[in-house]
Amino acid sequence: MSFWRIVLKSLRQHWLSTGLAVVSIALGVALLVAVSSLREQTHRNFTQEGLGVDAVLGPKGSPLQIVLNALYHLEEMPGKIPWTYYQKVLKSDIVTDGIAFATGHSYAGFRVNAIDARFFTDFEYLPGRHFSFRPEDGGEGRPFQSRDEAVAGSQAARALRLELDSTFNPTCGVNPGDPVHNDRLRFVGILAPTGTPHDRAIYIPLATFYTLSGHGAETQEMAVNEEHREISGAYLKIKRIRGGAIHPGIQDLQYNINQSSQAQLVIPSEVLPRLFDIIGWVDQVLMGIAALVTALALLFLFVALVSALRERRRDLALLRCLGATRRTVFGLILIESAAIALLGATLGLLFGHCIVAAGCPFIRVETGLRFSALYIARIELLIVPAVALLGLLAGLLPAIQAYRLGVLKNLAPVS
Amino acid sequence: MTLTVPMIVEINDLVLQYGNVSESLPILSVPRWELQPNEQVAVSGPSGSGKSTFLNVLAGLLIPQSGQVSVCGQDLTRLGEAQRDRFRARHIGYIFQTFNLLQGYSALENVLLGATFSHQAVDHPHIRALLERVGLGHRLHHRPAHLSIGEQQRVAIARALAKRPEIILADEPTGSLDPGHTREIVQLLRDVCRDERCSLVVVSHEPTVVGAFERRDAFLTVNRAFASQGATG
Repeated sequence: MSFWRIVLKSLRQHWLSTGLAVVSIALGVALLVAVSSLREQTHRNFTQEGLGVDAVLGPKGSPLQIVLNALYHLEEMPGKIPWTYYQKVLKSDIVTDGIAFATGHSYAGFRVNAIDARFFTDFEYLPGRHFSFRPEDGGEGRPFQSRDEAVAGSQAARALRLELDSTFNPTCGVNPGDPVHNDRLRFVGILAPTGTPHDRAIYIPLATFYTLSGHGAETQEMAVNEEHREISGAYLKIKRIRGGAIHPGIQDLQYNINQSSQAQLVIPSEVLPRLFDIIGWVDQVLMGIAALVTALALLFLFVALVSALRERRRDLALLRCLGATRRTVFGLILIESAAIALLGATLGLLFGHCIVAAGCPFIRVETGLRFSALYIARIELLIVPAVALLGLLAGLLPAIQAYRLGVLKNLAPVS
Repeated sequence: MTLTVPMIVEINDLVLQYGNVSESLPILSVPRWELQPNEQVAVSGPSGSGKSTFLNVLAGLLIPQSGQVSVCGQDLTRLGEAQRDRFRARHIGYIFQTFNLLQGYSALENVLLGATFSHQAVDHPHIRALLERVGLGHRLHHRPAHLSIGEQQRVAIARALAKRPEIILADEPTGSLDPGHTREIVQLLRDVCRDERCSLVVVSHEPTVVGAFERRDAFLTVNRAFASQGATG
């Protein structure tokens, strides 16, 4: 019978305490893994994948508010910018394209964005990826062509049970109780899922924004008079240099625009990390709780080993009498402890990914962000060896007690 | 020419004391004691006379303050604790009064455990044959809780012999058995040790057990510790 078989037998013999220790460690590790995975994927979603936009031209105000509104359909734009100024920016040498939009409308809790129709053909919601209406991709219909047509993002369509030819009246505002326009628009297209916040929006033609009934004469005039026309902002595509990097001239362009009194240029990849600075304490608290649960689980392992040792004194003394050295029984307890920790950490790793898998659909519905259960967080590379090492430490004191065990004292006949 | 047979056990001037050596009286004082290879001996004496302590000295579990304890040609007093553990694992089988079987292990596993620490390949056919020999061929996978007292002691006998030791030390091996089982187990123990060419030292205070052996050593004559104290232990 090998050393390892004795370890296995012992773990099975004390299956209840072994099982409880494994489960508690697994829960702690699962929390650590899930929190880390969601944190890293959120960060990646916000700073890389969710963009597809080099820069956003927006009104004066909070750059973070502009990014959240333009890219994530959250918050409200702090103001408007003149169409003529946008046209001027488009003429810049390093701006290769722009797509103007006007926000501020909604329908049944989903944002309604008035946007240039080229959004569906030229805009890259992720680097190199365009919107699709193809049924094989999960889309339906076509882009809007007239002022009374609309297109729905996949999640908005699913949540509101929208179909082609469904109609709706947009709300003038994004808050409950805001007035509803009398204009009835018809859905002619449903976008294929993109896994981005764009899935949660409804799109109408930019021109429709100005002609909606209820907007004042001043806004109505913007439909025909470009001099007075205003937009909420525009997605800008910037020229690339060798290696795919954004042209460094964007810094000068940003400086010049920001010096003006009419608009500002916001670079999402610079702004979004600030969001994490603001909400960073939340995931630190979550990580702290997960680490605490893991530490408590290891403490439980220690207590379980110490109490099991009381029951096992006779068995260990017998092994000594059969020829096991002090080092052998020391190793036996230590390996048992490490094995429990290792098993707990491995199961925790699996549970952690299961938690992410279970949470993905809910997060996607709520935020439009796509998460992968298969994403490997950086902490995962360390967590199994680290927990196994901590398991060894938890077993150290019980192992020393086993090492010091008196053979004859513990083998004395029990009456 | 006389051929000298090396003794399996040879004790000279053994003195063992507990606690403060300068203040306490000896527990064991054995001027000389020997056992030949394949020899079987019953060591008898009243409770408290130091029989079990004597056996623990032979097993290397206790080391005397002075004297020589040679087992299989090796002076145990010259070995460190770990070396004695390894020596015991390889050469000495031990049988307890209370069997001391591991409750989570089957009969077969308990016997396998007896050979685990001997640092030699476990002879599975030999172990199965031993269990057959002690009448437990049909109870290999039963745990101690499902075995009778007599069957448990048979497992303990097989376990002690699993590593093919040179000597078996049995401490009151029938202490937990009824008289009928006592005779049966003692006979079995003697027979199996003879078959396995293994020396046997049985410590017992039971006349039934002691009477079964040709060589019977009264421990009070072996251990001189109490002679001068006039105690019988």
